[in-house]
Amino acid sequence: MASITGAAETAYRRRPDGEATTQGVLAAAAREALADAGVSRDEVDGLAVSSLTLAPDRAIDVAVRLGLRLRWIMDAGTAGASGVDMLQHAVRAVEAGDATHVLIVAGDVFGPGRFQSIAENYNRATRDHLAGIPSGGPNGAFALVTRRHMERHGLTRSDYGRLVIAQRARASGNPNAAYRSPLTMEGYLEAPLVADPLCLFDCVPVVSGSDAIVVSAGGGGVKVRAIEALHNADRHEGDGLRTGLADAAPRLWDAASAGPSEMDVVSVYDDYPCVVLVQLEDLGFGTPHAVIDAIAAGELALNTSGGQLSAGQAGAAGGLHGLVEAIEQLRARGGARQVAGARLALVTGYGMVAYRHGACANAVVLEAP
Amino acid sequence: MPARDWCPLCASDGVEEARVLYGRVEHATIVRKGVGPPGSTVGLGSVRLEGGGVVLARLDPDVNEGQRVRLADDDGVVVARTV
Repeated sequence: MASITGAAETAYRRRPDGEATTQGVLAAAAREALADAGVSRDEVDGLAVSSLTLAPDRAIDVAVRLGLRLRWIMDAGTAGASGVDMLQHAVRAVEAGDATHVLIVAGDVFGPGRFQSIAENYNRATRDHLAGIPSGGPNGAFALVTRRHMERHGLTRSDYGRLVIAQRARASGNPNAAYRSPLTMEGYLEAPLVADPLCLFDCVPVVSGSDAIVVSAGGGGVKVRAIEALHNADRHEGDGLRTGLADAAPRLWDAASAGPSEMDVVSVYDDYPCVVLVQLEDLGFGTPHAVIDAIAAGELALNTSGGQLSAGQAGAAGGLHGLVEAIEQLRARGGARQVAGARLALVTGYGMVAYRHGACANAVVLEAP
Repeated sequence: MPARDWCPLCASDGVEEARVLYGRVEHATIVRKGVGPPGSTVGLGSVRLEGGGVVLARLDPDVNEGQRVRLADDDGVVVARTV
């Protein structure tokens, strides 16, 4: 049996100081997560790493820098889905006896112009056919997905605004969030447009930072009830309004012996509001209108850290951010934003924009210790 | 798009390149950030091809949603123009 014994997140910085490095923030989150787990450096025998800015280094170079001696190692290239991806592999590795304590770490530091450079060279399709348009990185593609989502469901900008405003209200209880001040509907609707209909508050703010968790043998930590993934579910022939979670959901809920209504905390990958609503609909939480009503009424504890839309997206750490938040909530360590009596949590991953929309989708159901 | 080695529908590796000249703009946006100096804008659209598939294209300024367009290759960039 395996469980999650440690979790940590470094401070997210909109503008990192000149001394900050990717390796440095990864090491900081790793140290804090291991201390949280009560696991020494020398007890770690598994390592998984995800980062967009670590190159030319890889996981083994992180191991060398930290002095880790490893029986198991993983480089994850699934960005927004990498948190759940690494957890899936780590749990199986520990259950199989390949490792006893796996350190999972993800993070990035973006200097000026670095994010745009990465976005334009994300893969060959983007580099060769989108960067030259120029398409504005993922904002352009998801503006088109959002247009389609609005048309399909009869949604207005105000509908997405209700979701964004609700997440911002949650962020006020997160001292680590990049943006914590309350947001009004007027402020949302008057914000500068980035790519119609997406405004400034619909586009995840890029920050620098790192997250880490520890998966250990034994059942003393946060339990993993079920993990499912389905990547490239539509073979990139779809319209971006259905993720692999739609097909994965029955297996996920069956393995978890629970359903959407039993989730006390829900961390859904939120690079854009429509992506949140698509995933929740795929997972059976309801139509976008019903979900938005539940979020605005506080009936659905969505992205209790403020999510990436308010806390920020620290590159590949965005794939771990929702996991760290859910783990803290299930251990009753949510501080001012604690959801009372949180026992079960859902966390999703999404990402790797192959061309028009994300190709990766996965989800995990967690249970309090 | 993106390019495939195997057909996404039947898995055949007998994939041949085909020239497609026309399509219809399904959705369009104006990108206002990250496309050049402040104040720069770019029209971007998803274009369903006559022959299957969807591409993202730069839209000429007079191109709108729902419009049939002629596609041009501008040094690897797909540009959609009024027919």
